[in-house]
Amino acid sequence: MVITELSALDFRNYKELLVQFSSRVNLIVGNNGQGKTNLAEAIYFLNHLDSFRTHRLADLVRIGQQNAFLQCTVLNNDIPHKARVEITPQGRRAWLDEEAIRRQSAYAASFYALLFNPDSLYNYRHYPGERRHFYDRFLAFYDGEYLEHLRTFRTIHAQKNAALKSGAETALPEWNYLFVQKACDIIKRRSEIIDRINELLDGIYRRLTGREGRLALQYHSSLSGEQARDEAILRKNAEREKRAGHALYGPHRDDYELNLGDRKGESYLSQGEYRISILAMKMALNDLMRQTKGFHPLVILDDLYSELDENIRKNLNEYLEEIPNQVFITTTEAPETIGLRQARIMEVGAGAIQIRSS
Amino acid sequence: MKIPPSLARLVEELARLPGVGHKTAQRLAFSILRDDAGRAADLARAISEVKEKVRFCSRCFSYAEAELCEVCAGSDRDSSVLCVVEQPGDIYVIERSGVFRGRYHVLMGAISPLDGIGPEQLKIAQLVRRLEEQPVEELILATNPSMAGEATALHLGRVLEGKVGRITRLARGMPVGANLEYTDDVTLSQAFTGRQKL
Ligand SMILES: Nc1ncnc2c1ncn2[C@@H]1O[C@H](COP(=O)(O)OP(=O)(O)OP(=O)(O)O)[C@@H](O)[C@H]1O
Ligand SMILES: [Mg+2]
Ligand SMILES: [Zn+2]
Repeated sequence: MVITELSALDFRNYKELLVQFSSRVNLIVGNNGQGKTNLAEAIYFLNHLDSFRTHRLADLVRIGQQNAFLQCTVLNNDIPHKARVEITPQGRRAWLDEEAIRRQSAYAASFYALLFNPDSLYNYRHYPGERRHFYDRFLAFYDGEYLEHLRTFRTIHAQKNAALKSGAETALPEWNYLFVQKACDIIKRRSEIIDRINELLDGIYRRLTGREGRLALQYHSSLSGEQARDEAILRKNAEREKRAGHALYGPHRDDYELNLGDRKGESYLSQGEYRISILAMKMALNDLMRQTKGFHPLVILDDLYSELDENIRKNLNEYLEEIPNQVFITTTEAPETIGLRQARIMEVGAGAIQIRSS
Repeated sequence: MKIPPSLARLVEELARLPGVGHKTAQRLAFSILRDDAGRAADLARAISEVKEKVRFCSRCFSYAEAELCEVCAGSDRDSSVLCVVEQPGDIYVIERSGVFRGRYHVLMGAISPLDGIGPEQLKIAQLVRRLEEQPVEELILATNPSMAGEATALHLGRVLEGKVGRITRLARGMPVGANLEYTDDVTLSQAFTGRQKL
């Protein structure tokens, strides 16, 4: 997919904005506090109908204003669509080709943006909930049935917790049976997707760093994904769960860990190693979407170059100019020093954007 | 000008009905007012009569105007098959499709800890007793395909294991998350024919 044009009204520090993008690499340069991340956020919002840095919609509206508007023209398989979003004190509303979107999931089936951003990176690194949410969102896009499984699981999970809390023997064995059944559906899909990512991950890491890394994602679950075995685990721990008053085992506790060689876990990697590992992981997701669905997500790389060495930057630029996706890169550095060959360069200054070269 | 108090009260009462918002309640109230007095009195009588006359069948807990409902009292029904449903209303849906000739048992809900409903709140003890007194060859569990309905069916399967010859569950011709009440006849009839052993 490609966003050819974006317009905004009273979104963050943009009073009025209209930009045309290149279908390949867009390099957005500017000093601190000028609106680079805000632009990335606008693009992301049009794709996912939420922000990667706030849950409060009001934050997105320019200070002193009530409403914000975003609109873009999207090419999906060369067919143009118009996506439009309105943010008001009552909430947000979205339209696709002038048809109101009622459920976010209806929209989520056709749009996807791979995002790299310092705040999201921090959250991903430090909060297991963020990691689960990230892969859930990917799976929801990748596997049409996943979201339904997840929703059903959440219903069962809530019922099971209520049963545990009530203390009464409210048909707990039945809830456990249903719980395990859905948990298995989810665990199988999660573990399969991690296997597929791993087939691609280390190759991309080596290409980007030129180093022998052995980068791998490891999936951890408190259940096995096999019905009989997991039922036994729950039976064995029934008393513990009753005492706790909530489910102690299940996919709601799953986690994902990045391993670089024998360094296992998010905390062992240096800043730069972590950044490039996460970039490699996102590029693996990109390959997966291309291979299995022929889909090219948007690639939004906010503040891409910080903490990356010369060598990695060079490899990264080559890689990004090679993949077929539309790419948005933001940086505070001077465009001449970046070394991208064919990027459209745009300069952001105080909520206005100027195209410097295309 | 304010709405006269007696009209306001009618609107308020109507608005308490499920699916009726304030606006609809007002429309209904005005329409009742516009009708002649006879029609309004008929409606009032119908409402108080339904509360006086209709009660729960003492055997199956569906609606009845006597001690027993029509199905329980009828001699033309197959006593060897019993169909378990969540709500009295579900029976009318199944009856309308005409695929089932056995008898019924209404649970009066489904197991849902979130709503504080456990097996004790349902007519499960009554079902167990009923089956002891009048054994059947087959028990069909027609609870909704919601998670609460599934849990209820599983629970019945467990407590009745070995007590009934055959326990079956309606086949999944029915859309997941759907209610029996909103299922069309064709789907329902498929679900009955394709029912599976629990
Ligand atoms: N709702 C809002 N209304 C007006 N201005 C806002 C709003 N939200 C954020 N801003 C301002 O917009 C400016 C640009 O923010 P943005 O995060 O896009 O900067 P940036 O160009 O990415 O800077 P950096 O290089 O430091 O990351 C900031 O000064 C910020 O305070
Ligand atoms: Mg920024
Ligand atoms: Zn009866």
